[in-house]
Amino acid sequence: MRTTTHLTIVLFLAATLASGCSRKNRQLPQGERIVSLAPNMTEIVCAIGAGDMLVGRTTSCNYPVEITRRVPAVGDFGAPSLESVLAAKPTLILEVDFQNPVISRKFDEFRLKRLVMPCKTLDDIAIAIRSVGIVLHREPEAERLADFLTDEIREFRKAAPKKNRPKVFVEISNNPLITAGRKSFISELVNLAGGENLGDRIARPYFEVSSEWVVSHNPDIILCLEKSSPGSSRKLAMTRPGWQIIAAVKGNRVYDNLNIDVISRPGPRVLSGIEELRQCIAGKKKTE
Amino acid sequence: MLLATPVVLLLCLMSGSTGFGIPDLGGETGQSIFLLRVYRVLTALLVGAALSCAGTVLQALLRNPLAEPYVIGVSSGAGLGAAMAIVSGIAAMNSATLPACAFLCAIITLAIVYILANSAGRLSIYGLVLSGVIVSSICSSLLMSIVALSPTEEIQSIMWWMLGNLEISSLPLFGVSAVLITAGIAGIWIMAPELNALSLGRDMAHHVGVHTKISISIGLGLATMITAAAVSISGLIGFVGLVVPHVVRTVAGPDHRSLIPLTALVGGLFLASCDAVARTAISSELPVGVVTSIIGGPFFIAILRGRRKKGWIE
Repeated sequence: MRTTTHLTIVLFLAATLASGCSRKNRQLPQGERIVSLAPNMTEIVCAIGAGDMLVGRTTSCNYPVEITRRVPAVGDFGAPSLESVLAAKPTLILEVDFQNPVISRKFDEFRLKRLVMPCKTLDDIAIAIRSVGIVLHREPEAERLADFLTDEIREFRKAAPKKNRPKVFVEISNNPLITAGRKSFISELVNLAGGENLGDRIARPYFEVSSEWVVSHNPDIILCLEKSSPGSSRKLAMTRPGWQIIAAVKGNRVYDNLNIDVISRPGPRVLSGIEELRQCIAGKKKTE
Repeated sequence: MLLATPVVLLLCLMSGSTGFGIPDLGGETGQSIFLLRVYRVLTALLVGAALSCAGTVLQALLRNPLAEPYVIGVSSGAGLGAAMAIVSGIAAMNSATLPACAFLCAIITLAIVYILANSAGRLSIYGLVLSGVIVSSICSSLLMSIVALSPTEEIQSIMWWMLGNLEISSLPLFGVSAVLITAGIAGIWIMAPELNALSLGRDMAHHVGVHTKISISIGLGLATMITAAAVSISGLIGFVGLVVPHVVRTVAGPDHRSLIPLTALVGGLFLASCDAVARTAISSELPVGVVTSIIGGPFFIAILRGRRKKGWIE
């Protein structure tokens, strides 16, 4: 008896929600109510001029700054709150490929439309922009942005040196020491910016290494990409036991002042991320 | 055993993530790599010795075969301290702050457990175990709530810390821990006759002239100090503190005068070997806490099965 009652309540709720959504749809035939569950998707939506369709974002979505004031957060990146998402009454949910599948299934149960874009490589960004453009009826803007990105990336690829590239150690975390491997987005950026990513020797996206591994490969440049107070990661790397003989430490080429959000997000700002890395690797950026 | 020690140490020094063998000591890189391995082997010896000795002491004092260094809440206290340091951002400031927080919280946890067990004026063994379990659970729940509420990158740091890692991040810190652990083990060794008496039971110990309450308190204090020092440099490494004391006891007999130095040696060598496996088994690093149980488990089961007549196991 009790089970039936519960079932009825759930069904009733689902029906109410479904009807609520469809009513909204009829009122706004052009617009969608978007909940973006990834910071790069939020940036893409805003970059093609559809920022005012956003009704939900994650706590990591901090760009453009304007949306942090206007759009409420519905949970963390990778861990959205189902209830907050539903409360935002979305007609479209934007996800990336490492969304928690359990929550995604729940969205399906509530018949919420989802667009899942894999964003693992540079080329994925243009594809994601075009797809979002089609769904949001912003094809011209999306097309223009995607073409621009593709052209610029092609230029970067042409300009990237093939030989005598400085060896770069990307420090994703310093406790434990984690670096980015061959299958990571960051590795692609580093190579495009003229460096040779040390982690490429291992065919995994992210993995733990020992101090010994770093010393033996003797990187020319160390990029500290963990979030920490300014200067602290750099200081830790410069004073780590055994690291004094590393070329990057000797030559004072340890950087912890990079714009991590721009470099780590496969979104429309990726070009300035590559440019920043290029400045670093070419030795034109100050370490402090 | 004494003959095997240099061989095991040499093998440990020869294994590393950059390949098997002694690195070229003529070059700067080779020297640096060798030095890193020496630090790691030393850390493993210290931590292994500390955890196994603490386990021996607690098994004797609490007269419980399941006692281990973490039983009275040191591990969850230290874990909570480390997690708070990571989440609050203190850990990112300096390489010494996280271990310091872990150490401090472990000591505070022990103090709370001790006060709870001592409330009626008489220090009760059962009281120690019970309040240890309760305080442990409270600390673990607080730790889990921190994990549940913190962003993804920080969870990773906390989790890795809890799996244990023998890479040292700062030399002064290593020095402080080494002094604490060595002094603690020496103190425990001096207490060996009292431990022998106490492991027969509290009344028996009293009859042979041991100040039971003082001895138990000192033993507990020393065991916690070396455990907290070990945990603060290496994170939580399981299995060593529980099983090594049992194995050494079955092989060498229950006299703490020889048991303490032997456990320290075996525990240290065991952890150093496990770490050597952790560094070389795959192209990147395995957490050493995982290797201790996977490699050590079957090995020690074999020893215990062969020697059932001695030690705790009937």
